[in-house]
Amino acid sequence: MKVAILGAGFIAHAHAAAYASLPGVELKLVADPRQAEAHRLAAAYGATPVSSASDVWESDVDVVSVCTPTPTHAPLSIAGLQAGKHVLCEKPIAGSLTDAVAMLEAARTAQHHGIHFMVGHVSRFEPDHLAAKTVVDQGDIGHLRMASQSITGPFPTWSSGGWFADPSQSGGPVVDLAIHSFDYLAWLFAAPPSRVSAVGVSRQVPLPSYVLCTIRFEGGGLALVEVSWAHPRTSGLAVRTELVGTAGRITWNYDDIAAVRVTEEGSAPRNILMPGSNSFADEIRSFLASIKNGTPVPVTAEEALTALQIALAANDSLRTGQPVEVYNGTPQAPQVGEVEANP
Amino acid sequence: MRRQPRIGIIGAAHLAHAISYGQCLQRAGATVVGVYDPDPRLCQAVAGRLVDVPVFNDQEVLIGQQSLDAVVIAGTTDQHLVSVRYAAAAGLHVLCEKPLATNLENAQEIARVCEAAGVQLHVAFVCRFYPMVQEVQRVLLERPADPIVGMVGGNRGRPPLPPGYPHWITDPKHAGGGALLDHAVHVIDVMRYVSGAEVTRVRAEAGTLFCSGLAVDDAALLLLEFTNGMVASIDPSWSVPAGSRYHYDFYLRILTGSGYLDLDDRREALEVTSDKHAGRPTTLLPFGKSVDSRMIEHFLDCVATQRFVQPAASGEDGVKAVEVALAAYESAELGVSVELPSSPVRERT
Repeated sequence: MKVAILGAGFIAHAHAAAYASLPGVELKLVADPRQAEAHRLAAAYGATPVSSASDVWESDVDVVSVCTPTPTHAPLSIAGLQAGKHVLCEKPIAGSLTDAVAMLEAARTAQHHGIHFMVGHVSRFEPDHLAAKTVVDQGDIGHLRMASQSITGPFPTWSSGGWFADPSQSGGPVVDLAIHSFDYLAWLFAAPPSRVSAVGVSRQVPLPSYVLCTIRFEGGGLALVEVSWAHPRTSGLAVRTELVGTAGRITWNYDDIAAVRVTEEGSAPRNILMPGSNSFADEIRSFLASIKNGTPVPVTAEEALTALQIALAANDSLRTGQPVEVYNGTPQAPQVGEVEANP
Repeated sequence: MRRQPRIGIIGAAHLAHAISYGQCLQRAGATVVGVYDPDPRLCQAVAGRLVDVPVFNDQEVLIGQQSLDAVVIAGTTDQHLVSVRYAAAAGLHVLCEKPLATNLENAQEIARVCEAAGVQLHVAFVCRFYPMVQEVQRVLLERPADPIVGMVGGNRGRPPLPPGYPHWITDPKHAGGGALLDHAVHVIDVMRYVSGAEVTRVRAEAGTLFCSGLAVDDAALLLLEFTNGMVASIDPSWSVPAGSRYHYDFYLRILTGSGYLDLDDRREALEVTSDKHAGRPTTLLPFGKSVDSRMIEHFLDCVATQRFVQPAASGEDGVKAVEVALAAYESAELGVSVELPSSPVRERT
């Protein structure tokens, strides 16, 4: 299987490492208009750097990872599918529902030709998240009724040209980071969202960088998501999750989840052997298996669209100060660029 | 030496609290002059756990004829106002169970009646008396230039169902609501207490998700905005499973402009696993003085010195917490944000 990666930034490195770890996979091309970045990533994995996506479409690669800034996900994914490439698009699927719906349609068309499209909601492949999903599905906690997830960390420093800080590019932490929670929780509740509310505060960047969000799912399930790009840099990325059912509860916390904690003279304690460290490889392996076996992908465009609907509804709620009803099937939420801080 | 304060327990509908407060009063050296409840079984249940405490079937008699200094009111929430009126008329200081009332008018009336009578009104917001809460209040007070960005708080408990809990707690007429009113008031109060800020806007979801057939909500999530610009969430749900290591929790995570505070009452406890504990072999055993004891001792101090001082929660604190909780119900029901009268940030004292 021959592979190309579009984009040579932070997440592209994670994809490249994952592809390299899988047998029978050849990372052939790395495309990025920033030549130095493309060369650096390509060189590390014996791939060829190219400067444009059309070089990829014209090549013989089978699979393309889209690891570019969010606003480019739709045009690149759609062009890739139309060129007959299987496309794994990084999360979020897109920054706007219009884009996401266009991708969904392109994915459906491609499906008829045996071409697969998947969105990289990597949380689903983390062993802790996966284990909790299994416990919920087995009914061990009864019916899932409430959930909360916090994903908190410092402002990410790795975006090229600082596009994370531009709400029209990234959608802020709600669209870029909390999307993990939205996807995971919608997957667990297995029900569409019906109402979303959010409150937030802007710190350092011109968008709400600390946001608290509630989601009501059809059937009554309630979820709370805390997302932050405003935590102290020393605290690192923290994830804590609680799932409550009619007959029990599941909780876990990334502070406690690694079997090894190392404390060295002069630096803060750090965890090693974090359980999620192979999740990109697991995600990509399952995508490649779907391609090989002609089976449905584990994260569909429809599901990724639902997660985006929640995120955009949350940003809409931040903007209007009101709860936002989510009408499934009739996307009405605003574009990413309309995000602003609460007064 | 000062005369021991003479205290009456008015209402025992909050049975576990009435017993605990009574025991704390006696341990602190106060004289529990009597316990009143319209239900003689509840009176006996309290008296049976205390030392030499007579029962009364008429609160006017206990309040008016026994030379009391103060009362502890632990009747059903909808009866608080009646008892407060008797106590205030008799010039007695009051410690009233939370929430203050089932509606805003009665809560305000309770505060007004006590103020007019010149008696102290304390509201039993025990969470203020966690040393961790007082320490954080002090830390935040010392750093006025460090803005509070957000708070995530929760106070979850087991579903308070019979036979372990009295029936009225899940009766909307007597309790005024469910988990949202019962537990959110604690967290609202602590957030106000440590921040010195008031809630300006409320969004909430509420529902009966765990105990089907319940006439009140057992699950809720609140989103709050405050005068100081911070945002907060509260989980007050009755969502603690039967097999849990603990009966309830209280936690608060605070993000400021320069750092992060993480409070959790479950940490200040031993994890005890005993094969002799049927059903729940592993439990969390808190150590140190209980918040009930701390609150009661502070109340007795305030009564003895005739001075109301923090961390006691005042009538205004009790009214504000009810106001926010009721706004949350309105938001959940109507699917809209509810604005609250924006009041100036209090001086932290």
